[in-house]
This record gives sequence, structure tokens and C-alpha cells, in this order.
Amino acid sequence: MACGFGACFGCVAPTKSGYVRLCVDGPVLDATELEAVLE
Amino acid sequence: MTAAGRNNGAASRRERRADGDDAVGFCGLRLAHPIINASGTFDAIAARRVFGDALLDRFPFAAFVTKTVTLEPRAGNPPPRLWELAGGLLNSIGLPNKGLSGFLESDLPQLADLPVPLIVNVMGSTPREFGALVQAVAERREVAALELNVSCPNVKTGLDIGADPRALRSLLGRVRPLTDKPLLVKLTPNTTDVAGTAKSAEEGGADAVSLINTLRGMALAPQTGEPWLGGVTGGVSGPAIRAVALAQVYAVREAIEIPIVGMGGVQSGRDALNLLNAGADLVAVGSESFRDPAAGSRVARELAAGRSISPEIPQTAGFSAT
Repeated sequence: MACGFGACFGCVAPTKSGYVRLCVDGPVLDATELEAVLE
Repeated sequence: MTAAGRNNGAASRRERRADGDDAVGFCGLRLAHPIINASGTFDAIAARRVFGDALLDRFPFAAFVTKTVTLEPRAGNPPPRLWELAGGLLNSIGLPNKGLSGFLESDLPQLADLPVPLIVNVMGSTPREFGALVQAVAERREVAALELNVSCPNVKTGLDIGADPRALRSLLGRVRPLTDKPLLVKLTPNTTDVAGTAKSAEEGGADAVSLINTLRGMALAPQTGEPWLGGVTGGVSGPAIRAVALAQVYAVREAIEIPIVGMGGVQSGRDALNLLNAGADLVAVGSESFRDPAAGSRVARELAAGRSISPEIPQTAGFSAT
């Protein structure tokens, strides 16, 4: 992670509604919204 | 005109000092000081969520440049998107954005709250797309100026107008007549002749150029030897590219008369002063804002005071999270 306040878009995680920034939209996400948690 | 260009910059700097004011004119805009942000390195909407109205009270930049807006929404590149370098950062973000409609409806009204002039950065994959973007953005009264991204190395369109003087000239021929607002061209450093592309921008009617964008780079995953970044290659930024920025700004100042926004690895007032002395009229702070969200204010303060606080010591006093 580069910034921690939503500026760099480096910390994204894939969800059903697209990439979300873990620093400002997480760090806790609804597991059922995540794409490919387990492989 | 080589000496004239450099002397103009020096004269305006002397003027600023003489009247004890850090304010600076740029393409008809009046800015409180010469420090702005590099496109894509500061999300003012997310920052306001994190820092609250303190962000508006102590906004770090004298003008705000948006992240690149494209015609259609973009998800951006698959992660991993970042790789830390010695003295810099390699990124492959891929220009995620809501697209033109999403920007105009959702982002622009929020950005209108900022206490500084708004410069909207746009990128099309064709001249026609650029035209549609410029027309739609320029007619909005919240927008003070536009910056054309002709140089981002992360996007797999095959388009790199910024490295081709003729293509750049042709693009400006199409978009210049669409607006009277200032048009900046963000030049790519990934070319053998940045002065030539700058000259093309000037001849095409650009009001200013901004440089440098990131330098193309790559990292391999140590475990596999495969490309680390989801986008395979990325852009190098940070203090590692400071000397490249100085050399390119200096070369461009020799070639053109229009104002230059200089950027590349700026962390301190001293770094900003160096770019001004090389021929820039404004200086943009980029990756340093990731480390210190108030870096823009700090660099402006250091520049005004004619001193440089060591970048080794993070100066994060500007904001606290709400």
C-alpha cells in the first residue's frame, strides 16, 4: 500500500461490484461480496 | 529564445519575492502559490472522507488536478498494482475512473467545493474521444482548465500520442477550437525528444505543458520470475526520477515559450526550487503525497521560506484523520 487515504488506488480488492479500496472502503468487507476468496 | 524563456521564469520569481506574496499567475488563473498536485496522486473526494473539512480549510495545493477521466468507465488494472523501488514507486493502476458521465454527475459537484481552481485531466483513445471529453468537460463552469493525458504508459490501447509530434499536433488541431479555457498537455518522458513533443504542443495551441509523467518500468516477482504487476509494466515515480525531470524541464524550457508545470520526485521546497530554476512556472507534487497527505502545503511553505526540511523526516503535521 502506498498512501492509506484513498489516493493511490494501489490496495484494491476484487468484489462483485468491482475493485474497492481496502484503505477507505475496507479493511473489512462482506465475504459474500468478494470475488475468488478461496482458490 | 532560450535565454528569454528562462529569464521570464526568473523575473516572475523575483516579482513574487519583491511583493512578499507567494501568489502566481498561470494561464490567466491566480494561484495562491506555485505548488499543485500531479494527476492521479491525490483523490480529493476520498481525502475529504478521511480528513473532513480540515482538507478544505488547509487544502495542500494551489489548484487541483483530477485523476484521468475517460469516456467510458474503467475498472483499472488487476492487482498487484504497486512495487516499491529504491527511491521510488512502480505503479500500474490503469486509470480506474467512473467515465465521463459518472465524473460529471457524481465527482464534479463534490470537486466544486474545493477552495482552489479545478483542472480536469482527460484521456481519449482516439482524437474523436478526446474531442467529446474536452467539449463536455470544458462547458462546465466548475472547470478552470483541462489537462490532456497523452502519455500514460499503463493503458493497453497502443496509443501514445505524446511520443509522436505529428499525432500530438493533429490532436490539438481537433480539440483546441473546442474551448477557450486553458489546455495543458501532459508530456510523456518515454520519448527520445521531449523538446520536440513540447514544441508540437505549443504549435498546436496548448496553453501550457506539464512534465514529467512516469517512466516505464517493470518488476519481476522474486518467487516466480514472472512480471509482478497485474499490468505487466508500470510507471516509475518518486525521488528516483527527480534528475530526469530536471533534465527534461530544462530541455523543454529551451524549446518553448508557454508555461511549464514541472514534476518528478518533488519532496521538498528545495526540489521545487530546482524545477523552477530549470524553467518550470508551477511545480506539482506526486508520489510524496502518498507518504504525507499535506506534502503540497509543506513544499509550498518550504519554498516560500527558502529552506528545505529533510525529506528523511516525515512531516505529517498537516492533517489528522477524523
